[in-house]
Amino acid sequence: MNFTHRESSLNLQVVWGVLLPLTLGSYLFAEKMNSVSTVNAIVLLLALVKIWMILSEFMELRRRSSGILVFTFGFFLVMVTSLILLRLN
Amino acid sequence: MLNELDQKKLFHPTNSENQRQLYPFLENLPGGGLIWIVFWLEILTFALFFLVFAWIGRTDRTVFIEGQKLLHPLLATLNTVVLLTGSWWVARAVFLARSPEKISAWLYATGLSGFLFILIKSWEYTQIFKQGISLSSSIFWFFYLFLTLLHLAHVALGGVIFIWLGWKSSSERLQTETLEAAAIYWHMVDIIWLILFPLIYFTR
Repeated sequence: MNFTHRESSLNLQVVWGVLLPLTLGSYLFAEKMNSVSTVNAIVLLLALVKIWMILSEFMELRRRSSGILVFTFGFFLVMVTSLILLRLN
Repeated sequence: MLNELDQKKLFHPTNSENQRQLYPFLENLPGGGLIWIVFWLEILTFALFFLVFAWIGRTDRTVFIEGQKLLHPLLATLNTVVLLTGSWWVARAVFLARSPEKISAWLYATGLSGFLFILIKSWEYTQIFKQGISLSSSIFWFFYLFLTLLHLAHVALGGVIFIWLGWKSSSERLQTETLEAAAIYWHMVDIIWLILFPLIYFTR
């Protein structure tokens, strides 16, 4: 039994509750916004935020292995930055 | 004085104990070491494909923009919600598995979310194929179909794994490491989609 790793399952619900508006926000932002470069950067950065939440909370890395969390997120940060640079006009 | 068990542990440490002594940062890693090797192999492979897709998109802009006009971003958004919900359910199952509560319903729900994703994606493919599009139509469609079908195969495997785990957990208690490893796989599939989704549907 290892309840110290997770305060409560409410945390998970809150994380899911934040992930959904971020997803719908990406869609609405991409549909409404005309500036291609801004859309490219914002939708990919929103994806990065969602990845952080999944790694940290759903995969429990924040409490279980912060070193792996930082390393893994660092990788995604580099990848998403490269994608944004490649997609810039 | 050490008892017999302690002596065995001291002189013949198990594989996981060896692993922990050699790599202390792996000590608390959810799901064990093997699933993390799978995680990194998959992520690195998809990352390479994403970078190639973005690179080619720079050179063949017109083909990519024309292709994107035929996609269904709203369906893709709905599918993202489905995958994220599945991720929440499996995270909840992992949490509840530490108490005596039954988790089979959460595991079945996760598996079914995978099949719902496949159903929505199939509808989108049908709309695309109706317009005579195939892998050889253009470089955009090659990458779109290749990447999304590769991802879909991972979702299908995850769906089968979770239906099986749901069935298994209704009659016996699952090992923590097995459940955590399956959860890591599902979150990996989710993360790959979280990049694929904006890259294909929204970035231009």
